[in-house]
Amino acid sequence: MVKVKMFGVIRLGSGVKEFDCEAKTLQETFDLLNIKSAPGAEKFSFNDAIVFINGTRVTKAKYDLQDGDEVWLMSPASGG
Amino acid sequence: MSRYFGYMGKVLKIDLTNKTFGEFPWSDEDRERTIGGKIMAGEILYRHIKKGMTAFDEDNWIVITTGPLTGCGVPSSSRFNISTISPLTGLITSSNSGGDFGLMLKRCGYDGAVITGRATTPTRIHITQKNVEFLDASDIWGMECSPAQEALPKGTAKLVIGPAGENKVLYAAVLSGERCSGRGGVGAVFGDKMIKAITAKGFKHPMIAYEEELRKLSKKWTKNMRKHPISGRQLSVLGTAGLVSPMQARGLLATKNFEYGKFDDFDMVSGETLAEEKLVRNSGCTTCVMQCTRRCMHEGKEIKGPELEVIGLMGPNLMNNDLQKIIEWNYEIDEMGMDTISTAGTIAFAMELNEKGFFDSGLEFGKNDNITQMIHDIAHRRGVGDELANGSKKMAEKFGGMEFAIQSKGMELSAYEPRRAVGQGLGYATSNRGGCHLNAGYLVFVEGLGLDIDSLTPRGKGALCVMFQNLMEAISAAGLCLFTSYPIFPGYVFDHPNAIITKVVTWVMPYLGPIVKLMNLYGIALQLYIPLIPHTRAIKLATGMKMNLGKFLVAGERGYNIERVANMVLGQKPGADKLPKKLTETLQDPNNPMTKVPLDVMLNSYYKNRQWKNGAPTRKVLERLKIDIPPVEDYPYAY
Repeated sequence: MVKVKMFGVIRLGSGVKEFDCEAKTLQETFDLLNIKSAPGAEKFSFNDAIVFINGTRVTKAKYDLQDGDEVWLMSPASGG
Repeated sequence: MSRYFGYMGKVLKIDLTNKTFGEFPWSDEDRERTIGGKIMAGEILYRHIKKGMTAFDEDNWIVITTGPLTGCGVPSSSRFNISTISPLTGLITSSNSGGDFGLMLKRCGYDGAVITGRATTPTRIHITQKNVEFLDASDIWGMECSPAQEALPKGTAKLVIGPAGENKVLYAAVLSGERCSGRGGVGAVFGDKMIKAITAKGFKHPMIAYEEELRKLSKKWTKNMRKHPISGRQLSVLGTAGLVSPMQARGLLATKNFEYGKFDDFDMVSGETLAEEKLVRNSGCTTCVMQCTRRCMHEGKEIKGPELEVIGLMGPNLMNNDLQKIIEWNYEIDEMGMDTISTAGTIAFAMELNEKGFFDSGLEFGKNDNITQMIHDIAHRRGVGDELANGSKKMAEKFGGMEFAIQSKGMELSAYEPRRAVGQGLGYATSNRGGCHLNAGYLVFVEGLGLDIDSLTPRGKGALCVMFQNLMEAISAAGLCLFTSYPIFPGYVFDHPNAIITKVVTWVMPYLGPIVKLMNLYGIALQLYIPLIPHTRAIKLATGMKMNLGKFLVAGERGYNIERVANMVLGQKPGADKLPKKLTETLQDPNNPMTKVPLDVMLNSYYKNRQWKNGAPTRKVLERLKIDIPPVEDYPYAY
């Protein structure tokens, strides 16, 4: 089981806060997110997202997930 | 009068002691050297201050300034600045706000107001185009900030203090509407001078040198800001609170008085949760296209919601996961008229003092039920609140714990934990007004938040910090919100955080130190216009003044140096650019030796980039920037 959490504009845009899944790859998590999104909601891909897996930034789309992984899909942010 | 447009051409001088007013001399050469805003205010104070002068001396001045773009129709241009000697740091403080007072001051015909002397009874200063009145304010003395403003005449722009300013809490603020000039205790200086309020009403407008061209530029600039992923989307959707989650991901979220950089319950106080559960609507400063302010409910009333700083510092940093409590405390602090950052930072320090057995204030990490009362006690200087009203540094001098008093030069740090963004740590240490994230240069923006450069390496950070500080100083001087600096970075790198070009930019940036150093030392050579920095063209079109990137950066550099020399005349010693040992000696992650701020290494590079020696501007740099050198007895460092 993989836990996927959304943050920033990805969460507000998709309307999905988190879900559990059996995804084997990072790409699958985005596919599932876009399926779970509200009708007409913005679609997101790896290219749009800052991805953390188990607290470590991942910058390559090809990534095989392991059981128990926690995936964070975030949007760039700033303020002050 | 001025030959330049954009400015109103006059600076008001108000003598509270004698209840008189007149014009403060300010020449076009001064305008060219300082642009306006905080640099102008710094220069005015620099010419006036004397060695040994302190915040509560009758002879301390309050200098309120606008920029040439304030009220000129460009986006996010309602900013004004208040500078004075800070009671918190003993040094020059500058506090920038987005209320409507700056716009109205210009409508009265003034680019700034210099307030001197001291009243003997509660006073409201009322400024109009032709007159300045000194009115009795006894009826509103003692009032909190909202009732005080509601009691003042409608149609006027207002500056008020709350109980904290009246009681000279060292980090008391001044409010203009809901916007706050918070940092450094300017409200306490108002209180010392018995100024409860300043109101202004006028009908003038600045003349624009190239009106049609400025209108076109503003339109294009607004469009660019609206389509930029940070200024156009993230800030309006999530506000600055949208940073809580990215800060958590990167270990930047100050937790338990900066003991940790992550908080297990961060999502309970995140910007996302704020937007989903608490947000009523957005709002923002006059003229702003970003509208980053949150509106929330508290006890059936719609109020201004919390920013990132107060969420971080009154949430994770106090081990509190109750977002509604943060909304309440933010409101209470504003009503009392205090700086949220210093209030929260001092409370966190008091909690750690209590935990370690230094001083029992009754405050404990994770305990929420006595915070509201403590906020009121601080503002009224009641009980232990009287101790907290002096800030964390003075508390540490009295009770101990200086190594975990999270302040620089006496001012409490903002919510960014610098052991995971060491360039931000360098900025906190070198900032002229103390531990301020913005005066620091806000390097954390590229160290993991907006961009993702190596946040633990000291490489290149000295040069980048100087560049960012100078640029932000100049943007502020123009009368613009510092958030207008985000679109300087092309939106593509934010929209495509995993693209090769983004990776190259973030990898190479720390290695650009030597090139950035050349720009820092020979900025005046950059006689060019970069469309991504429209600020310079806007100043030129509004005022008719020659302006380009080089002049702009040098003005920023001048501002930073003026404040630094002024600070040293006021008593700052070499070696004052430092951080508490908790941040420079204790590892955030015991298994990672890089997770502390390598301040000494970065300071060396920083000083070389500034041509400073051990924190003091040298004769060489002061002559290059055409800054008057004080006599040897006041400033031996240039001799």
